[in-house]
Amino acid sequence: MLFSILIYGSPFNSPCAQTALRFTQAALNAGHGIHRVFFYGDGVFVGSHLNAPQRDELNIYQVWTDLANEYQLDLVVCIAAALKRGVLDEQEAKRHEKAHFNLAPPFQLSGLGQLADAMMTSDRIVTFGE
Amino acid sequence: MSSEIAVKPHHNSEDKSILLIISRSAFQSPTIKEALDVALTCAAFEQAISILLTDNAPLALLPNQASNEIAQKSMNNLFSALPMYDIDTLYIDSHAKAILEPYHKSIPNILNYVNQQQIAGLIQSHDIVQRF
Repeated sequence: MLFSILIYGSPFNSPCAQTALRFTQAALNAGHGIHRVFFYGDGVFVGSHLNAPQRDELNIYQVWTDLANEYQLDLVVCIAAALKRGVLDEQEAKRHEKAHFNLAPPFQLSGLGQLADAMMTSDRIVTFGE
Repeated sequence: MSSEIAVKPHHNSEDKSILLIISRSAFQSPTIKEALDVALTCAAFEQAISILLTDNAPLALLPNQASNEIAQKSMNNLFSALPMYDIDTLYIDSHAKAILEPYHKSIPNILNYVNQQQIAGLIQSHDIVQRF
Protein backbone atom coordinates (compact mmCIF):
# COMPACT_ATOMS: atom_id res chain seq x y z
CA MET A 1 0.00 0.00 0.00
CA LEU A 2 1.20 3.51 -0.80
CA PHE A 3 0.94 5.95 2.12
CA SER A 4 1.43 9.67 2.46
CA ILE A 5 1.93 11.33 5.83
CA LEU A 6 0.61 14.73 6.89
CA ILE A 7 2.14 16.26 10.03
CA TYR A 8 0.67 19.54 11.23
CA GLY A 9 1.21 19.47 14.99
CA SER A 10 4.13 21.16 16.71
CA PRO A 11 7.09 18.82 17.35
CA PHE A 12 7.62 20.56 20.69
CA ASN A 13 4.06 20.75 22.03
CA SER A 14 2.87 17.32 20.95
CA PRO A 15 4.28 13.87 20.20
CA CYS A 16 2.84 13.89 16.67
CA ALA A 17 6.13 14.17 14.77
CA GLN A 18 7.59 11.26 16.75
CA THR A 19 4.44 9.19 16.35
CA ALA A 20 4.46 9.91 12.62
CA LEU A 21 8.10 8.84 12.44
CA ARG A 22 7.36 5.53 14.17
CA PHE A 23 4.37 4.96 11.89
CA THR A 24 6.48 5.68 8.82
CA GLN A 25 9.23 3.32 10.02
CA ALA A 26 6.68 0.61 10.74
CA ALA A 27 5.04 1.03 7.33
CA LEU A 28 8.40 0.82 5.55
CA ASN A 29 9.44 -2.20 7.61
CA ALA A 30 6.19 -3.90 6.64
CA GLY A 31 6.96 -3.38 2.96
CA HIS A 32 4.64 -0.46 2.29
CA GLY A 33 5.63 2.60 0.28
CA ILE A 34 5.70 6.23 1.41
CA HIS A 35 4.78 8.58 -1.42
CA ARG A 36 5.40 11.79 0.51
CA VAL A 37 5.69 13.27 3.99
CA PHE A 38 4.09 16.71 4.11
CA PHE A 39 4.82 19.11 6.97
CA TYR A 40 2.15 21.72 7.56
CA GLY A 41 1.18 24.16 10.31
CA ASP A 42 3.56 23.97 13.27
CA GLY A 43 4.85 20.70 11.84
CA VAL A 44 7.18 22.77 9.65
CA PHE A 45 9.44 23.25 12.71
CA VAL A 46 10.61 19.65 12.25
CA GLY A 47 12.59 20.82 9.22
CA SER A 48 14.68 23.44 11.01
CA HIS A 49 18.28 22.28 11.25
CA LEU A 50 18.90 24.94 13.91
CA ASN A 51 17.05 22.80 16.43
CA ALA A 52 19.64 22.07 19.14
CA PRO A 53 18.08 19.89 21.83
CA GLN A 54 20.05 18.62 24.80
CA ARG A 55 22.05 15.46 24.16
CA ASP A 56 19.71 13.23 26.11
CA GLU A 57 16.66 14.48 24.16
CA LEU A 58 15.45 13.32 20.76
CA ASN A 59 16.57 15.49 17.86
CA ILE A 60 13.43 15.30 15.76
CA TYR A 61 15.10 17.02 12.80
CA GLN A 62 17.93 14.48 12.80
CA VAL A 63 15.78 11.36 13.06
CA TRP A 64 13.57 12.46 10.17
CA THR A 65 16.68 13.36 8.15
CA ASP A 66 18.24 9.96 8.82
CA LEU A 67 15.06 8.11 7.85
CA ALA A 68 14.66 10.20 4.69
CA ASN A 69 18.24 9.54 3.64
CA GLU A 70 17.90 5.82 4.30
CA TYR A 71 14.71 5.43 2.27
CA GLN A 72 14.95 8.44 -0.10
CA LEU A 73 11.76 9.89 1.34
CA ASP A 74 10.14 12.95 -0.18
CA LEU A 75 9.96 15.42 2.73
CA VAL A 76 7.94 18.47 1.68
CA VAL A 77 7.49 21.49 3.93
CA CYS A 78 4.60 23.83 3.12
CA ILE A 79 6.22 27.05 1.97
CA ALA A 80 3.48 29.39 3.20
CA ALA A 81 3.31 27.81 6.65
CA ALA A 82 7.11 27.72 6.87
CA LEU A 83 7.89 31.27 5.82
CA LYS A 84 5.57 32.85 8.35
CA ARG A 85 7.13 30.69 11.09
CA GLY A 86 10.70 31.61 10.16
CA VAL A 87 11.61 28.31 8.49
CA LEU A 88 13.43 29.25 5.27
CA ASP A 89 15.77 27.57 2.83
CA GLU A 90 18.72 29.43 1.37
CA GLN A 91 16.82 30.67 -1.66
CA GLU A 92 13.92 32.06 0.36
CA ALA A 93 16.30 33.62 2.89
CA LYS A 94 17.94 35.54 0.06
CA ARG A 95 14.60 36.50 -1.44
CA HIS A 96 13.35 37.86 1.88
CA GLU A 97 16.72 39.43 2.73
CA LYS A 98 17.28 37.30 5.82
CA ALA A 99 20.77 36.76 7.17
CA HIS A 100 20.34 33.02 7.78
CA PHE A 101 18.42 29.98 6.61
CA ASN A 102 17.49 26.84 8.53
CA LEU A 103 16.05 24.40 6.01
CA ALA A 104 17.97 22.24 3.56
CA PRO A 105 17.67 18.82 1.88
CA PRO A 106 16.26 16.28 2.46
CA PHE A 107 13.55 18.78 3.44
CA GLN A 108 12.28 20.98 0.63
CA LEU A 109 9.82 23.85 0.48
CA SER A 110 6.84 23.55 -1.82
CA GLY A 111 3.17 24.47 -2.06
CA LEU A 112 -0.06 22.88 -0.94
CA GLY A 113 -0.42 21.42 -4.41
CA GLN A 114 2.03 18.76 -3.24
CA LEU A 115 -0.42 17.79 -0.50
CA ALA A 116 -3.29 17.67 -2.99
CA ASP A 117 -1.15 15.48 -5.25
CA ALA A 118 -0.34 13.21 -2.31
CA MET A 119 -4.06 12.78 -1.61
CA MET A 120 -4.79 11.89 -5.20
CA THR A 121 -1.80 9.56 -5.63
CA SER A 122 -1.66 7.67 -2.34
CA ASP A 123 -3.86 4.79 -1.23
CA ARG A 124 -4.00 6.31 2.27
CA ILE A 125 -3.02 9.63 3.77
CA VAL A 126 -2.49 9.55 7.51
CA THR A 127 -2.68 12.77 9.49
CA PHE A 128 -0.74 13.47 12.69
CA GLY A 129 -2.02 16.57 14.47
CA GLU A 130 -1.88 17.78 18.02
CA MET B 1 -33.37 15.97 7.90
CA SER B 2 -32.42 12.80 6.12
CA SER B 3 -29.72 10.58 7.55
CA GLU B 4 -28.44 10.02 4.02
CA ILE B 5 -25.48 12.29 3.27
CA ALA B 6 -25.11 13.32 -0.34
CA VAL B 7 -21.53 13.48 -1.55
CA LYS B 8 -20.55 15.27 -4.72
CA PRO B 9 -19.94 12.81 -7.55
CA HIS B 10 -16.36 12.17 -8.57
CA HIS B 11 -15.22 13.99 -11.70
CA ASN B 12 -13.19 11.04 -12.95
CA SER B 13 -11.66 7.85 -11.67
CA GLU B 14 -8.57 9.62 -10.28
CA ASP B 15 -10.57 12.09 -8.18
CA LYS B 16 -11.28 11.47 -4.54
CA SER B 17 -13.86 12.85 -2.18
CA ILE B 18 -12.18 14.66 0.71
CA LEU B 19 -13.74 15.54 4.06
CA LEU B 20 -12.00 18.15 6.21
CA ILE B 21 -13.13 18.14 9.83
CA ILE B 22 -12.24 21.39 11.57
CA SER B 23 -12.60 21.66 15.34
CA ARG B 24 -10.51 24.66 16.35
CA SER B 25 -12.04 28.02 17.16
CA ALA B 26 -11.41 30.90 14.81
CA PHE B 27 -8.65 32.76 16.60
CA GLN B 28 -7.23 30.02 18.84
CA SER B 29 -4.59 29.19 16.24
CA PRO B 30 -4.04 29.50 12.47
CA THR B 31 -5.60 26.05 12.08
CA ILE B 32 -8.91 27.09 10.48
CA LYS B 33 -7.19 29.30 7.93
CA GLU B 34 -4.66 26.60 7.10
CA ALA B 35 -7.39 23.97 6.81
CA LEU B 36 -9.39 26.22 4.48
CA ASP B 37 -6.23 26.76 2.42
CA VAL B 38 -6.07 22.98 1.99
CA ALA B 39 -9.73 22.99 0.94
CA LEU B 40 -9.22 25.71 -1.66
CA THR B 41 -6.09 24.05 -3.05
CA CYS B 42 -7.78 20.66 -3.39
CA ALA B 43 -10.82 22.33 -4.96
CA ALA B 44 -8.50 24.01 -7.47
CA PHE B 45 -7.35 20.47 -8.35
CA GLU B 46 -11.03 19.65 -8.96
CA GLN B 47 -11.34 17.32 -6.00
CA ALA B 48 -14.73 17.01 -4.29
CA ILE B 49 -14.32 18.81 -0.96
CA SER B 50 -16.65 18.68 2.03
CA ILE B 51 -16.07 20.66 5.20
CA LEU B 52 -17.46 19.77 8.60
CA LEU B 53 -17.21 22.27 11.46
CA THR B 54 -17.40 20.80 14.96
CA ASP B 55 -16.66 21.84 18.55
CA ASN B 56 -15.80 25.57 18.57
CA ALA B 57 -15.17 25.89 14.83
CA PRO B 58 -18.78 26.85 13.87
CA LEU B 59 -18.31 30.08 15.83
CA ALA B 60 -15.96 31.20 13.04
CA LEU B 61 -19.07 31.75 10.90
CA LEU B 62 -20.55 34.41 13.17
CA PRO B 63 -20.82 37.67 11.21
CA ASN B 64 -19.45 41.10 12.06
CA GLN B 65 -16.18 39.88 13.50
CA ALA B 66 -13.75 42.76 14.09
CA SER B 67 -10.71 40.58 13.53
CA ASN B 68 -8.63 43.53 12.37
CA GLU B 69 -8.69 44.88 15.92
CA ILE B 70 -6.57 41.92 17.01
CA ALA B 71 -4.45 41.99 13.84
CA GLN B 72 -6.09 38.87 12.40
CA LYS B 73 -7.55 38.18 8.98
CA SER B 74 -11.31 38.03 8.62
CA MET B 75 -12.80 34.56 8.89
CA ASN B 76 -15.96 35.87 7.22
CA ASN B 77 -13.99 36.70 4.06
CA LEU B 78 -12.40 33.26 4.01
CA PHE B 79 -15.75 31.47 4.23
CA SER B 80 -17.22 33.83 1.64
CA ALA B 81 -14.60 32.60 -0.83
CA LEU B 82 -15.62 28.94 -0.58
CA PRO B 83 -18.63 29.07 -2.97
CA MET B 84 -16.32 30.45 -5.69
CA TYR B 85 -14.50 27.10 -5.46
CA ASP B 86 -17.74 25.11 -5.65
CA ILE B 87 -17.74 24.48 -1.92
CA ASP B 88 -21.28 25.68 -1.40
CA THR B 89 -22.39 23.68 1.61
CA LEU B 90 -20.80 23.50 5.01
CA TYR B 91 -21.65 20.64 7.34
CA ILE B 92 -22.13 21.91 10.88
CA ASP B 93 -22.30 19.87 14.06
CA SER B 94 -25.93 20.22 15.14
CA HIS B 95 -24.92 21.44 18.60
CA ALA B 96 -24.17 24.83 16.99
CA LYS B 97 -27.58 25.26 15.39
CA ALA B 98 -29.03 27.41 18.15
CA ILE B 99 -26.01 29.71 18.02
CA LEU B 100 -25.87 30.17 14.25
CA GLU B 101 -29.55 30.13 13.33
CA PRO B 102 -30.22 33.80 14.18
CA TYR B 103 -27.44 34.79 11.76
CA HIS B 104 -28.32 32.61 8.75
CA LYS B 105 -29.14 35.59 6.53
CA SER B 106 -25.68 37.05 7.14
CA ILE B 107 -23.75 33.85 6.51
CA PRO B 108 -22.80 33.41 2.83
CA ASN B 109 -22.62 29.60 3.00
CA ILE B 110 -25.37 27.00 2.91
CA LEU B 111 -25.34 25.27 6.31
CA ASN B 112 -26.28 21.62 6.64
CA TYR B 113 -26.62 20.64 10.30
CA VAL B 114 -25.61 17.07 11.03
CA ASN B 115 -25.96 14.95 14.14
CA GLN B 116 -23.49 12.33 15.38
CA GLN B 117 -24.99 9.58 13.25
CA GLN B 118 -24.82 11.74 10.15
CA ILE B 119 -21.23 12.71 10.95
CA ALA B 120 -20.39 9.02 11.03
CA GLY B 121 -22.08 8.70 7.63
CA LEU B 122 -20.03 11.59 6.28
CA ILE B 123 -16.79 10.00 7.42
CA GLN B 124 -17.81 6.68 5.92
CA SER B 125 -18.80 8.15 2.58
CA HIS B 126 -15.57 10.03 1.83
CA ASP B 127 -12.35 8.60 0.42
CA ILE B 128 -10.13 10.83 2.55
CA VAL B 129 -10.84 12.35 5.97
CA GLN B 130 -8.51 14.90 7.47
CA ARG B 131 -8.95 16.46 10.87
CA PHE B 132 -7.69 19.90 11.81
